[in-house]
Amino acid sequence: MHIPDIRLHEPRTIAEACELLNRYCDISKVLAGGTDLLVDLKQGRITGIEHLVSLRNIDGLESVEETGEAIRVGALVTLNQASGNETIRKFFPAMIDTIGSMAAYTIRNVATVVGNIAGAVPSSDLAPFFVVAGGEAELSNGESQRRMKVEDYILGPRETACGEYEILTHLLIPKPPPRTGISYQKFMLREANALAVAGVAARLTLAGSIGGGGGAGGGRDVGGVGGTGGTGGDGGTGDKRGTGGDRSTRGTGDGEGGIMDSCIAMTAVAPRPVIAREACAFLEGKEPSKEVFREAAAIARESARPITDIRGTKEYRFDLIEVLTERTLEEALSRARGE
Amino acid sequence: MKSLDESRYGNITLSVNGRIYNVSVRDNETLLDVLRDKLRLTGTKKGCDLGVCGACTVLVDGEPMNSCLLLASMMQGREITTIEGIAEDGRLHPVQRAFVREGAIQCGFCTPGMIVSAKALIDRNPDPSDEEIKDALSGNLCRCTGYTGIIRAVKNWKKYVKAEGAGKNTGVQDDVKRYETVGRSVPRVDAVNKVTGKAMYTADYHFQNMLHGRILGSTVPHGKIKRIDTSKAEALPGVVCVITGKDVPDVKYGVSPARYDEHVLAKDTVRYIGDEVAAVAAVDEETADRALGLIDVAYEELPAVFTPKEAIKEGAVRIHEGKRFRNNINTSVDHHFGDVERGFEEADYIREETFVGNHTYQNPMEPHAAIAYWDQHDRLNLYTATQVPHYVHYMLAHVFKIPLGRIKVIRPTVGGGFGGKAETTPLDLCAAILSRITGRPVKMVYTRKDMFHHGRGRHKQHMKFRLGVKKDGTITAFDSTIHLDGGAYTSFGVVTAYYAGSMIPTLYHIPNYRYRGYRVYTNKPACGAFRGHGVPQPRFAFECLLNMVADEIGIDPIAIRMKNAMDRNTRTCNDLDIRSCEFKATLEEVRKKSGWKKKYGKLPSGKGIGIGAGGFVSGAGYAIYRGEVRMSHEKTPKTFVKKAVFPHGNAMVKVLEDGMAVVLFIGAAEIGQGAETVLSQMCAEALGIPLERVYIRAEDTDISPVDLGAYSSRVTLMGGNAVVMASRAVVKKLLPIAAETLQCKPSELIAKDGKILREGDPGKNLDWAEAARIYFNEKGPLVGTGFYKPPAGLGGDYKGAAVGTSPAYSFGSSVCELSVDLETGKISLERFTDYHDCGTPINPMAVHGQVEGAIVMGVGETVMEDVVYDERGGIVNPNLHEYLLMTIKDTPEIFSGIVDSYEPEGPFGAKEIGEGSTLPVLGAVAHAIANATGVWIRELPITPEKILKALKEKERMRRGGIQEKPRGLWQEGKPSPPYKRKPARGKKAVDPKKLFGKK
Repeated sequence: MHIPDIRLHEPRTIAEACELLNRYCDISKVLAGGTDLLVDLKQGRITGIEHLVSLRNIDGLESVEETGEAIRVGALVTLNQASGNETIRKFFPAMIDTIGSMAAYTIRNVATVVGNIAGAVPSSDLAPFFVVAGGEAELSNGESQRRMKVEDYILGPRETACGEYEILTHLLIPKPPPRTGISYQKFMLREANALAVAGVAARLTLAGSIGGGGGAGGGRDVGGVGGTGGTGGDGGTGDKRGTGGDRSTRGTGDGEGGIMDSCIAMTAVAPRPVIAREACAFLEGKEPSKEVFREAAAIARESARPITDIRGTKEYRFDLIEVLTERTLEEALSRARGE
Repeated sequence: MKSLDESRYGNITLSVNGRIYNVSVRDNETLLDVLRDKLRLTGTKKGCDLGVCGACTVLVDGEPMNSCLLLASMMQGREITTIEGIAEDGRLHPVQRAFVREGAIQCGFCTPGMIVSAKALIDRNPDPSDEEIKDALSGNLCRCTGYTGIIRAVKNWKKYVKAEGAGKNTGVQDDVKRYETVGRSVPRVDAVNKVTGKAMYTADYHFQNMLHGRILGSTVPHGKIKRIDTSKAEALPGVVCVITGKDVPDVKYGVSPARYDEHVLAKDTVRYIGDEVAAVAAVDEETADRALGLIDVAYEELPAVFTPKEAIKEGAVRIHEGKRFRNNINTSVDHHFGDVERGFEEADYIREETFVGNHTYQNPMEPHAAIAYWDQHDRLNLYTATQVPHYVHYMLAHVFKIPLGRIKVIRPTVGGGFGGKAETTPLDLCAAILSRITGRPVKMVYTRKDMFHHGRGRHKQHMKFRLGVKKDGTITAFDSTIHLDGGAYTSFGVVTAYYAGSMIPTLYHIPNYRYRGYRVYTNKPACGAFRGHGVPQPRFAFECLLNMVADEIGIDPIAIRMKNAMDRNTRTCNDLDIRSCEFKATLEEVRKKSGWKKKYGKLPSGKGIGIGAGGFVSGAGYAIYRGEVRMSHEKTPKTFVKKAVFPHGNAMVKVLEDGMAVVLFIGAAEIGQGAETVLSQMCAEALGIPLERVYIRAEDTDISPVDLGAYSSRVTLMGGNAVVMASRAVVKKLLPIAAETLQCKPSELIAKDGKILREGDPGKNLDWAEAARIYFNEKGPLVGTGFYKPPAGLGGDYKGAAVGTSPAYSFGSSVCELSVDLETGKISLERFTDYHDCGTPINPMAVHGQVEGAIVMGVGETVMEDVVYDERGGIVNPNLHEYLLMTIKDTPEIFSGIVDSYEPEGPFGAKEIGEGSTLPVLGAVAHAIANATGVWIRELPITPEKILKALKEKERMRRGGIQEKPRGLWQEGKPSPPYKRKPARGKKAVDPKKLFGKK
């Protein structure tokens, strides 16, 4: 079992990297951590690749930055670096949990956060997290950048909206609004080194936030990062916020409010991460309760499009989605309440 | 496909263990390959090459990473530390010492990676919690230890900070005080080599001018080879030799002489996807690999069958020719002892159940490997990763039709076997042939995928069991029918089919017993002998059935076992002689230790406790082939006699001329189980000298007398007896010398503590070494030899009576506690309590290591392991990503205890532990799951999905008001005659045909 005869390129700038991708088109691949790519090359799952363009000598890709409104993760940040990062620990305990459930320690020392999105495997653990957190992909062609929502970036199994000569250089996660909780629940067949049989991430933002009423929540751009905007496809966001804010005023007087906004995304149950839109719509404005979550979970189940494979049957995955959705909503709720 | 482009080499500078290496690499080379093949730092191992097993873990700038997934050319400017760089100034790192002392090592193949990961952990967190240890080592798989000793070592590393020898091993109990060296939890004799990366496994060897070979497997499950075109492969630069079926001897080989059915490479027919078709030798492995892709094979596909059910149908395609294999039945067994019909009439309650096992694969961490060359005397030298050097030796002689004396087999350090390395592999044979043709050494190593295709894993068994009991739980009859899915060749299968039935009556008194077994050929890789050989699945099914029956008739599951438990000095219904037996004590101990009474039937829903029991032979009573040790075609067939023709274990003890060291020569195979350590301990004990003076040489058939190998859990008892005899022969020579000096009778003297002393008068003594020197000066070399033959007359006189015979049997009981998530079916293991009767434990730490490893492996087999096939018989998961082994994070808390027992036939009272320890586990887990959920899963593996499905079905029936049909049958109305157990006797000689005989 060997990696085919490839030539490794280690450009120093994004522009050089894009130039190489341009030159070698479909016989080249971008290499960051390589824990998926090299396995695929060894197993012959990907063929015809003759050039690897490594990002490791490019400056500016190795850090987690806190910008005003968002956290920006560079393409060389490994899973372990991310989970040890204070900013991420502060804002996104769910991301720490997610990373902790992935692969194994040694792999997490090499595999990158961005790679888990760029690889676009259907069982990606971080994809549902980024989707519910409103994460964005930052692409560069060496000259200009563009951003798009993570859910729009992943098109299908190992298929992304990344242009032929573009590189996914960063992922951005907007800082969560107050009274927001995110959770990820994964079902796997052993406790380490296992892919998700099914996974569900959820974000809940409660009304009656600390600033008083739904206004504070509404003021934040939950779905976007620093006003860069997505590539569309989620026109409902603003409305949701509005209605969420309205309904929150009907919340309980002590600041405990209904669900102002929510997002549920699933992994390993469809070719790409799925957003359970109907379940989210159902939750809007509801007072969180076990019954409400159970009902939402039953609705979420219908959004899954699982297949049968070696890890589980289609029917089992439907069942798992329901259970995991309920659990992830509960954990998101307790995080939103600061418990 | 392009040839290797020389221009793609570039020079890089690597900093490894503080040393700078200038090395020429191509861009596609991994750090692992460069370390191993170019820098010859072979302490870093290749176990899966896909980033799952972690055997290749190295530190890069202090962080552990899988070197198989790092490109070497990207490692410039980074500081790499391999296992060879962990010890400082020749002194072991405290973590290495902790591994040595805490029993964290067995085969040692995962050890370098484990230690590297552990060292990085304690560098960043000197006081890790259990959870942190488990997370840090989550990328390192171990197949031997059950991780328990490893966790203990990392947790206690600080105890070993001080100088060597400091720190007491913790968590190890059960040391026996009767002896000096035997019965002590001493560290393994090979431990230091294993923690430093110095232990050499077959693939770590390199010879000048060596070629690398690979084997091409069939892409169709069943077919005739119409044409093979090797010209393109031969034309590839770097390829030296390509062979196909026409280049190999027209001799069939295998394991059981009655069923040799394999060719080195397919002559004209292929019978499963992966069946060996051609082999290539080239200048490097990568070139050989490419050449395989250039061999063009045209097949005429034949229909194929993949399950015993399809295969035995009338009109199904025949996988092997020959009248004896009608309906693809490779072996059939019909054993009937007592009278089951009458037994069932006597029963008050009868229950019939169907169970299905799984295809599991041994997955030793070390892949199979072989290196062959022919020396100046035209002798074949074969280095091979094997459990059975002698059977490989014998089979090479058979296939090449040369005397055993023209072959030398070397068994380097072996990284685990579990039965997967218990036979001659195509690697051994192809390497020998390719080397013969090319005149150069040839090295061949399986990839993990190749290992799965080579197969020899556990037979999937389809079992129909019927058990009859009295109201008080006394077993009156047991009837079983088993179909074993054998795969395309026999391998050990004849024996497996007999074992599946023969071991059930060793645990309980079963007066009336019937077993019908059918091993069926299918178009899949051959199944063979896997830890517990043929027995774990029937044992799982029997234990489940017994628990179902106990619950139904209202008897505690432990009580029903006590009621029927085997007693010492019993002849079983199938004529097996049980000598020592403390089975009841193991039951009693697990009951007490686990708090069974407080828990069974009293736990909340979702929590469960379960029991299983099991035991095994301490070495097979008869050799796989009978007759003499010589070329098989030279032997004339002789009728089977109920005694060993040649000794199964042989040892030679040679004392160095200064008397300060003893070399023990024995062919017994160390495969990680600790054979060399316990044999050395027994040697030291019998000689009366400290263990530090004993050095064992067991790796070379030229220097060590024959031993049949590490299979059927035979080494401790059989090899041990040979060692004791050889050692006593030495002592016997020394006593007269000492008697002369001490002026007393030799019979008054004993050898102890490095002295020859008078019993009751220790002041009067002579230094052992001095006595040895005097002996040498007067009489020349001081050597003792010893051998062991199993007792004559073992077993009954019926066909197949040889299988299951043994000089001694082990017994054990396991209690499993776990919880099940009733919404997802997910199992969380909590605790295992295990007690074993292994006779005298020669090394209690090693015994516990076997038990801990067996529990984790057994749980894995019960809940997650399964080789999955597609509709064409191709393996869906021939890798460690999707064939799930338990990780360190899945490991339960384990308590392992040993009951007091003494086996008169064993050395110092010892018997086996290695395989018997697996047997109670599967049933205990299944029972605990049933206890937690209220549903029995009768098909392995018991996955969360199966549990949830059964729970939903149960709920559906409850809602629908559907009563579950009673599964058992109460035979009410009949007077229940007072039941008297008759002496269990096997049915007399119905057919004296012999298992391994030619008619």
